[in-house]
Amino acid sequence: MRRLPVYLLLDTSGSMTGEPIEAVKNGVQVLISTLRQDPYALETAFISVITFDSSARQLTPLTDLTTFQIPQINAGGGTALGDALKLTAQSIAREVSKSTPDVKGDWKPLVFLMTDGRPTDDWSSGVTEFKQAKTGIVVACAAGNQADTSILKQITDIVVSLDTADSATIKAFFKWVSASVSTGSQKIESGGKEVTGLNELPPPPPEVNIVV
Amino acid sequence: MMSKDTHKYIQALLQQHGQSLPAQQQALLAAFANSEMMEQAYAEIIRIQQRIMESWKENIDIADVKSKPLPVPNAQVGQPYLFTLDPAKAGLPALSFFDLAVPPESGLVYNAADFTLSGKPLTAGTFPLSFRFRVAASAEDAPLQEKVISLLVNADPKSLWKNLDSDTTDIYWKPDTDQARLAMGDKTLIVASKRGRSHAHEGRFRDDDFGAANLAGGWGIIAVADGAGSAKFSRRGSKIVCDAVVNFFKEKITNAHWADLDNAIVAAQTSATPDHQKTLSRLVIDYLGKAAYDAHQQLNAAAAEKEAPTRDFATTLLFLLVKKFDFGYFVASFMVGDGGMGIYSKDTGQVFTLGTPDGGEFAGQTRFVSMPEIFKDESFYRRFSIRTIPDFTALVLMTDGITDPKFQTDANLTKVEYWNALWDDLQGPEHRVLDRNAAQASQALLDWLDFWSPGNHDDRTIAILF
Repeated sequence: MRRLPVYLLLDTSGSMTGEPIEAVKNGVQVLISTLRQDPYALETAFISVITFDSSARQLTPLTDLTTFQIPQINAGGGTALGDALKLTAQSIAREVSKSTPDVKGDWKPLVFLMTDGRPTDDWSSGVTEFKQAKTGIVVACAAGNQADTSILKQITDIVVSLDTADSATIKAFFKWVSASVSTGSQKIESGGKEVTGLNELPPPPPEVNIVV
Repeated sequence: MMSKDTHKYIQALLQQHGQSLPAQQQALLAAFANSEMMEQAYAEIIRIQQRIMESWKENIDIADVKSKPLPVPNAQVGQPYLFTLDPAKAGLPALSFFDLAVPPESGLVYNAADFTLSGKPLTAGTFPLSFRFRVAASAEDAPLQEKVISLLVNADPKSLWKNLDSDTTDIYWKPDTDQARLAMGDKTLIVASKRGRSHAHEGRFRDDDFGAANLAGGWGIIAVADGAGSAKFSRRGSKIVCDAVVNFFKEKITNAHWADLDNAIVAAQTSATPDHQKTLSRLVIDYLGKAAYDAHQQLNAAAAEKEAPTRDFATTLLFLLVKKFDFGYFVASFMVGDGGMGIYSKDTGQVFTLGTPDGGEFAGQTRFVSMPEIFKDESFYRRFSIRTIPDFTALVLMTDGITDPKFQTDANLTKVEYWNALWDDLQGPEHRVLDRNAAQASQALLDWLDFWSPGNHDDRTIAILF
């Protein structure tokens, strides 16, 4: 079966402590339980959670929605965005199967990145490595006004921002992520086509601003 | 021993409280510490300290158990579940006792004798499991602590698919399923077409279609088509093109045309000179090519009538002509788009695929008969196939709703093991589709189309001549 891999890259730096990190945990919970109700997503979407603070870790390797369990997410430390991008590229290379004449590989992975601050590591080498990975849609989300959208723009064309990193706003973002994954898996299952641009994703809610 | 410890303890205590303890007081201290009262006081202090230490250990162990994850794998409705609870393996501190209280509505029970959680869940949802425990550091009669673990029971994925009727008032409405069975020469043709679960889930239409007929001179035609998911009226497009090619051969190809073709086939068979082959190829390309172009033009006409672009009627088209001769069967085919056609011979373990699917692997490469360039590109000539075969087990035409789950890739269409598996599945004890004498053979084939394949829920159409 051709899987639709979904990578969630979540900033767990010290500045996320408190309401933001609780909102992210809650957001992941909402995302997973919503997708579980969607027969398209339940069969095709596979989720991986990568968090980054002073370094990056893959808390959950690519896992189907049925067996997925929410990992423990704690905040503290710096913002190793470059490390996270490298780890994501490596995880994609390792986990996402490629097409051969005999086997159809997985669909191109969807990547959703959320960060609330400026990177504290060598992010540009991370961007370079990440750009080598074969990805589908990549959405970068700047949560609150401390994040640098110009850096995110170098990772992907699709950058969105949240005015505040409060629980209602973060929840709205994750709901949109969930709707986007649903759309992606639906396009695959009914037409064998992948989503290729922001215009094919559901319109973002008012809390999520598109950065042009 | 005790008195020495007592002595040291008291000395340290006094110093801690600023007593200078000059040398002349040392003898006094020794006698003081050696008294029974001091010995007892010291023993009491040590006991209290131990209790404090144990209590601290108990506290951090309890906090540890409560904060560390104790993962319980997710369950699924209707699937047998068995999990052995092993707190030590999960990295929890030593426990002197634990058990698990499970809400009965979860459908699971916990067996304390072997620490297993088992059963068959009946309802989807998240159920709180109460993990009650006593850490080893606690007294034997200490009250039990509690940690709540969430057990997730997933819905049966099949139950999440809705089956909503399509809008019967739509101008291009067609039934969500269709089937046909007809004798074709000494073989039987069964065809079934069914709306995919992904379409049924949203009350959308079946975009696939098919057509088949016996023609003059012992010829038969079989066509299948898959309307493009992204095209608004593709359900109509697929019907138009199937009808078009069937009608083309019924109405436009005269007995004289058929005689020319028959003669060319016999000539090519008896003396396989390049000239004879060329004449045959030319006739096949002429007849089938014109039929395909007629289908294309009928899409244009339908689009003009609807005042919509032809691409709104985009559809694939796979069709073939078949006739039995003295030397065996002659098959000529034409194909635009994905899906697959093949002649399968179980006994000889051979399969001949007819045509090459236009790969949808890379965006923009999918081809539809609605595209005018199909008839201009040099690839046009590669869309035709001719095959002569003494006999065969089955001649099969499929839309990608069948080829995707059953063959996965185009390369696998040429591998007989995939055809063997398909054939075994069709006539296996579960389905018994292939009884050519049974009036309900096409219904059995329609039922077979419900096969479950995760991630593959497109419309499915299959035609089998056997």
